[in-house]
Amino acid sequence: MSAVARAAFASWAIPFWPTLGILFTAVFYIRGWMALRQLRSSLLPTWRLVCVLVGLASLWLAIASPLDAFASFLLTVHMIQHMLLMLVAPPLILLGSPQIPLLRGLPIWAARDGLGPFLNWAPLKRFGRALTHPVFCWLTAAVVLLAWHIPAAYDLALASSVWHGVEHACLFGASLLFWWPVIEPWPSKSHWPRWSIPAYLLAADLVTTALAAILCFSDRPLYPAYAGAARLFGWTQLNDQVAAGALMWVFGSTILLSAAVVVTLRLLDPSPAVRKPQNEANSWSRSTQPSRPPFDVLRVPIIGSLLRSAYGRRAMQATVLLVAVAVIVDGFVGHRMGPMNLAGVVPWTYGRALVVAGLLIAGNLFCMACPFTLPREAGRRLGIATNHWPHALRTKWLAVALLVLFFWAYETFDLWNTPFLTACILAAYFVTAFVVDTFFRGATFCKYVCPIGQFNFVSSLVSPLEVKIRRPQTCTTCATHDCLRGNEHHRGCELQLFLPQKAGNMDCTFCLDCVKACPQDNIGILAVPPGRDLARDPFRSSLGQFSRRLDVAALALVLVFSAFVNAAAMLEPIVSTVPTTGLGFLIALVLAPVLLVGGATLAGRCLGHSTGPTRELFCRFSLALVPVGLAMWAAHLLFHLSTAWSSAWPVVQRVSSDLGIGWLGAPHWRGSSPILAADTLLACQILLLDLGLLLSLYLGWRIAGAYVTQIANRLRLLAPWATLLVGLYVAGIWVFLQPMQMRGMVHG
Amino acid sequence: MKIALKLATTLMFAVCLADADGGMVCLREGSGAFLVTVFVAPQPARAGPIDTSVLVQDRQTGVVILDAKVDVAVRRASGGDPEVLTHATREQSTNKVLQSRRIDLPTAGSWALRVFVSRGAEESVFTTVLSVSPAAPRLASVWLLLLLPPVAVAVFALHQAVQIRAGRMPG
Repeated sequence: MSAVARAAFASWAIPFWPTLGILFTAVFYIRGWMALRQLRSSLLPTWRLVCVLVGLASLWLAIASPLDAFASFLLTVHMIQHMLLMLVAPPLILLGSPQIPLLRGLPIWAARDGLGPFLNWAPLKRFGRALTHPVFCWLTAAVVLLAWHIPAAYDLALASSVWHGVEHACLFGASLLFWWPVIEPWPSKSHWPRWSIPAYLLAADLVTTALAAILCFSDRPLYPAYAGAARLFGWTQLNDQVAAGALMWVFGSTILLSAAVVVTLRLLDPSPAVRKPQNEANSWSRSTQPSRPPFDVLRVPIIGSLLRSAYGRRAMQATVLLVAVAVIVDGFVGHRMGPMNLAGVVPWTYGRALVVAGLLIAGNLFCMACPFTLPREAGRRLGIATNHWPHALRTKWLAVALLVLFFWAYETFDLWNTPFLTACILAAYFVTAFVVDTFFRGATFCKYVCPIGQFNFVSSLVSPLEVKIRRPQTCTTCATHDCLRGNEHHRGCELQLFLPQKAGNMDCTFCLDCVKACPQDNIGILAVPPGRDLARDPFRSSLGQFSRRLDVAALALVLVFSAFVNAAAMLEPIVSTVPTTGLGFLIALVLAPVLLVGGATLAGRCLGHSTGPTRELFCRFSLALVPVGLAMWAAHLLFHLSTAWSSAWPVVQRVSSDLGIGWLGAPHWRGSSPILAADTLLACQILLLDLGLLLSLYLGWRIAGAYVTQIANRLRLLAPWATLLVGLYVAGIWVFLQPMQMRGMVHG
Repeated sequence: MKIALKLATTLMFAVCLADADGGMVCLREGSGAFLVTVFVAPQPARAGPIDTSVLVQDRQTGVVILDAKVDVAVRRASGGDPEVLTHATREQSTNKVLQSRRIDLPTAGSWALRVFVSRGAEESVFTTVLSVSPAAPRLASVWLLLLLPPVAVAVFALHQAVQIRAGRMPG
């Protein structure tokens, strides 16, 4: 193969969103196909799965392979791309009868609660029936095919990647419609008798042939966009056009006429084997399916065993402890500049971002690997941890105060650029954990003192994983309550969470003590809908109802408002005009939230004619703000991770050099380009805020429904909260549109 | 679901590797032993980062030359500022027969673009002028994402209306 051919075949461009869509479609189809096969093996034979996967692969080839890279050079290549999009991918995908497997493959809540009402909605059913009518399908395909081959439209598609994408979407979508009456994917019903389908296909072939003939027999190039293109393989533009027309003619007619022949042969075949098993197929219903247990991390091979093993958590803690010790030592004795010191880079650039990413992707992974609890073990060996934490302090208020203090200190003392202070804080953390847990029983430090832990507890209410019981009925017969009390082999939950009454991740450190203590093996790390527990208000073990916990609401508000304050404090207009004072932070993190949220509570209660107690509304709606706050944190920290992602390696080189280890090389203090381009980063940040806003609005809607039943009143009760949420969203976008300080980076 | 998430993660890393690609032809010219086609994206060019891709062919045979050294230099057409010279490579291009480089044009106006092509003893310089429009507002690149919340809220409102009509919720 020549070098040019090799280069051409290496020209793959992977479009993110279409590829993601194709991947998810394939995964959901396979899940649904497997579930249906278990239900009735004859329903969807293996060849249907193969058809769908090959169809999706050909769709992906059309848009990601070198075909796309060379479509602007050669009309013939562009034609091959279109053939894949119109004549290969759509019929193969429809042959897999994708509707039911895709629905079955979706998470149950998405299929039942999300799509269910729409699927049973009469106007939508009528629309679907009209959309798949053969006349509409045929006309749509013909019009789309002809319209996109008009020179002006074709040139527009070649001139703009956006229009090129629109062109491909039109061709693929119209072709799906075109092939629908031909294939009639189960469980759709035919509009016309089957004998009309060969005529339908022949008529389509006439259109394709006419267009191909125009391309072949035209004596001049039809598409000006190709006039300026480089002639890569020595073809003239006219030769290229003729080849593209011939391809369309031969390949198009072959596919369409073959389909017509197959349909005709099946019509003539009297064997019942070729008839669709309509009755059998239509007898399928979701209610007959066995319920699928939720995803359980502890059931995953290797990972599950590792987490359950005696040393799984210890290994993670030991690793983080080593890093923490290195950070503390370097903070005390290393370089004074934050970006050149482990204490400046590890916690502020990587640590925070990874903690938030862990919370969004999995759960409270930081507390699981937290090394601060290791001194507790040492303290316990002294045998004096017999005191009870004072009743007055058994709330989150102390942690709220510490969090506000920490955010103030972060900005006032430029902690990200002061390794010594960072090391002091970390060392103080270890000492405090040791002192508190040496004198007081249980996990007092985690439950009532640790501000990082409280931040994680509240944030993990939005996490997709939760430590919870697998089968509630198993717990009803349990009399020993080992998950709480422990047994002779394992201790129970030191944060006093009784698993059958545990709801959500609040106060759960993912230590998995309960998992190890449960003699029934009835506790797992299960997948849950993110944020579900923020919309409900059950009695929670060791916490009571959130609607009565003003301290938990305050914690949530500090998390939310600190996200915006912390990000805004990096902006030059803010830094230069607003002094960083304790009073300023009290106003931003205490007074402003109380006034805004209190105002929204009173306004909503009045407008929505709600009789719910004001304090209860305040507490519950405050928790609904958590998703947008966490999204702001994630978007902000993504900026730091993207811009300073390479900052650790030179610091590690510097430390090793200081220790006399030379084989890692000398550090090169230079800025590197960010992981994400500026526009991509902004898009990711806005997408995160979008998702946070939408989840917060949804939670608000659910909470409002618990207090008023009339839709109008529900909307009025929600309106002030929605206004507050939109205000936070707009503030977040404004922040991300401003130039930010490049903290944690060495320049030049 | 976990498989989908794994695939999505893999995909994100794969996408990060992709870079510049073709665009619209802004120059096609033969000089010395080379026939050069220069592509610029986006079209129209706007102030900010733009992708410049160069296809080098043998002027006589039209065969693509992959091993030519390509440098791209820009300066304001009106002169004044020093010329910024950058090296284009195939690694930075999605289409591997092109040699690409992302260059930053900080302001709108006319910019002189010079492409230096050399291979062995052969050297040629190609010049064109780019008309650069003012930078698009940053929000212009993400307007679709700003539409997401109102569209999602509208779909949700429809969802709730359907449920109310079906009698599954109080109206």
